[in-house]
Amino acid sequence: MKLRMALSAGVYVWFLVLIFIPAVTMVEGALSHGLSGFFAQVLRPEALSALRLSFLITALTLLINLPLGVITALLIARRSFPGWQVVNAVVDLPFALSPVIAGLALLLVYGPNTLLGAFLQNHGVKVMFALPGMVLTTLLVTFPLVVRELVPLLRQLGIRQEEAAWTLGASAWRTFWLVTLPRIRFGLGYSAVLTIARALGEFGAVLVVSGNLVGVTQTATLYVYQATENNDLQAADAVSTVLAMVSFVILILMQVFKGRGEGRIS
Amino acid sequence: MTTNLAIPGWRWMAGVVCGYLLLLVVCPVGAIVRQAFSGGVGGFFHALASPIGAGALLLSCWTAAVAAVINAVMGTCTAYLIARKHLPGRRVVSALIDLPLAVPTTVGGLMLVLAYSPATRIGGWLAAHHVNLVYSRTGIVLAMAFVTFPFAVRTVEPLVDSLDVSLEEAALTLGASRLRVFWQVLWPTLWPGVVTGLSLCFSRGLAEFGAVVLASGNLPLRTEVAPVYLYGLLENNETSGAAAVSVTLLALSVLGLVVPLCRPRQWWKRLTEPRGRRVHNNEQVGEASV
Amino acid sequence: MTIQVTNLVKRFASGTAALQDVSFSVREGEMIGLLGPSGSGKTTLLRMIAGLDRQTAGEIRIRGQVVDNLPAQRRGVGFVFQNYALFQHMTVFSNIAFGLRVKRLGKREIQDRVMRLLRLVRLEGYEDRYPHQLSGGQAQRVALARALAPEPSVLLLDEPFAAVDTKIRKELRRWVRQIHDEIGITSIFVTHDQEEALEIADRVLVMHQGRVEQFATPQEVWERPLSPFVAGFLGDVNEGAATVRDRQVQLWGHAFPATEFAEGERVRVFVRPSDIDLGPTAPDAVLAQVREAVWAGERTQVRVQLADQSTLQVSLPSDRSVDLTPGQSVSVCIRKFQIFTES
Repeated sequence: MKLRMALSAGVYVWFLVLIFIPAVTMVEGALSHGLSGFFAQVLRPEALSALRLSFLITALTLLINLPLGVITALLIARRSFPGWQVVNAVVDLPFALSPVIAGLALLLVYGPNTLLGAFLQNHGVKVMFALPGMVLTTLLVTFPLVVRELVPLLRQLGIRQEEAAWTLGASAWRTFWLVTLPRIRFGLGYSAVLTIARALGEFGAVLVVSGNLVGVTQTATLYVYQATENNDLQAADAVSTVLAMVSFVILILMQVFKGRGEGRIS
Repeated sequence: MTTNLAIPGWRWMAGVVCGYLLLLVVCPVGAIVRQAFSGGVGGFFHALASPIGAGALLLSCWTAAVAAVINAVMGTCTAYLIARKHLPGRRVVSALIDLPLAVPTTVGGLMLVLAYSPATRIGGWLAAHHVNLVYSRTGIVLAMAFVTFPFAVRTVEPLVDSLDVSLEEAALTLGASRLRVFWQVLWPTLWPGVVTGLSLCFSRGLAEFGAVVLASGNLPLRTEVAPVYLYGLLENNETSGAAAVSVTLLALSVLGLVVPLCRPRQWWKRLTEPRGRRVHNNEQVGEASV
Repeated sequence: MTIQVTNLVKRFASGTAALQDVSFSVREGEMIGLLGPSGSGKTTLLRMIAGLDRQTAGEIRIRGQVVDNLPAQRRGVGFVFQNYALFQHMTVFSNIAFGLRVKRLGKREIQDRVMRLLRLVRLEGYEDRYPHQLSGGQAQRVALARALAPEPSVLLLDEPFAAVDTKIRKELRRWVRQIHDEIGITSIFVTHDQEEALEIADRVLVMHQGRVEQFATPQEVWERPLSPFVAGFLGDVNEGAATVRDRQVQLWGHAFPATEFAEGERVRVFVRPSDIDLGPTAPDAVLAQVREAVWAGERTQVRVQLADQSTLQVSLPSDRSVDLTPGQSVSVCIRKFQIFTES
């Protein structure tokens, strides 16, 4: 009994220091100048455009990585094509990539001084230090999330119900829409939420490839960083609180999907 | 499992996925490696040998290791208490564990700064007692620990769930001490999860930028970790040096991720088996002498 | 011929052969039981007929058409899976309607057909339930209705009764036979339970190690097994080995005529416990001693020991007037037997 209480106390203290006190302080700080002060900070044009850009990048990332992630997971879980183990390893690589490295890596391929980057720029597509580069970076860091969530789930579910659908005359495509997709919907939801969280929160990689132009390529997290560096803690705090509120919704969604679909983190 | 019906047009899709991964992951990572060795192997090591760079890499390694170890211990305890339903308020705790996954890492760093910087109440009180939780090496560990805590808990949790309570109870009724129960009943099962969690925490801690850059203070040679140093190099357009540091950091992270794939369970068996056999022999000898 | 299988071979990537040169044909409206121990290749065979697996060599025809290159979707085969594989996220109605919706039938027609099938499988009123709200037997019936809905030309059932309680099992299999008779669909079901196969199949295909051991009516398989495997696999059996001498086999105190075997050949003799009679002792009868008698309802299982110390298992109707106390001497009479060469 004593041991258990000591353990619980230890866990609580760690929790308090690591998560609880910081979270409470932040909300308190954001509201310290009253709600009007909070809104004044959030409604500044730079802050608004930063938030808008963050959400745009997140939406585009989700739109691209969700379907591609599902396809990749299906390929890894259900097909053994030559070299799939290599694909499997490559999918995991972004996990090991520090965000700054991810940014640098993309810069080295698509930057204005490279062959591909120059070619694209001559054709009017500016990749780096612009929206495409920021989306590309976010795609890179979030790609494993969907795949790693769905592969074990697909393996665990097996393929019997899909086979049943085939014998009933359903084409592969219809089987996917009517049987496979509904079965993985909670896992998919969970990984989508993880992707949103990561995309909204991505900082290091975007910092490297964005150029951080206020009002143009400044995302919400870059705005927070800039404001903190400029010691404008109130501005940083306000935008952070908006992000944290989104996180709160994300957190709740995570619990919902996890509870229903037995989701797990990578 | 290998029917051609499994995926609509799978050949076509495999091509799309491979192309996507090539453009998104393989080429960029390859470009970094190429850039790092553009000055030959000598150039690579020269870039690493700068005292600030080497210091940053070293600092990254040990702070990530410390954060990983602390998290492995606390994470295992938390997972155990939650799964065994001992922790009062475990619903809330369980949900909050995922918080670092949900909040942007920058926001996480800012949270720590707002809570513990010397200018605040708690931070001020701590600073008066010579404890600096941010803008210090402790701050780096704290930021890394914050970001990686979910991994430490979530890798152990399913293993605790799979463990039958009656095993522990049986051991206790047989008169085993708490420590013995932990060591002989819990540890052999939890070990692989703890190692996986440890290595994930280490890799992610090593890679972490957003939270650390805000909470550490970034003093070169004192509190500047490798990713921050890397960013500084990039700001100054020292691409080759940055690539060299990147490759080293990436290699360390990959190493961290690969360790649990080497079947720690089997390693564990190999490590423990000889000992088990020796004990057995001793017993036999004991019996013979009687 | 509804289904015609010719020289079917299936080898896995590892090189192990799951099926070796399997040929047989099924007549329209027949119900076939695929019987064999686990690993004998029966499920593989069924899956290949359905188009879920592809054979290494050989040919499958359904209603005269070679289907080897047809995917499962276009073979017109209904398949009932071992654990039913009901769509967990759909109601009973949607499960049964699935095949009809895929065919893009009209709403009214789907409604009518599903309701008719629900009546057929006696699950009216269950259409809004989800699979996890059904018992094993009910889920089995939904699976059957779902497979029948698109009106397939062939119905394939993989261990259809394996996951159901023993009590419901007997009821369910008779009922499946009844439905089969009602709609007259050609069916093949896989089972490892010989009782199941013998009871409801028109013909039984006994498989062993990827080969067809025998394909005949249940009665014939029971009474005239073609191989030692079939003789041993169907029910309990007394088995003995001996050598042919003077066109006879001496075993268990009996001399079995063995005219079709070569002199000195090693043979195996099979005798069913129910094909042995015990009677009062008599001169020039084969004598034995009762070792054990276990009363089991309608029949009594008796173990007797012969003069040469060998034992025989005997199954008698319980109302037999012989005294079966252990130690009692009785006469033994073997009414039926099977002899096979050793190999």
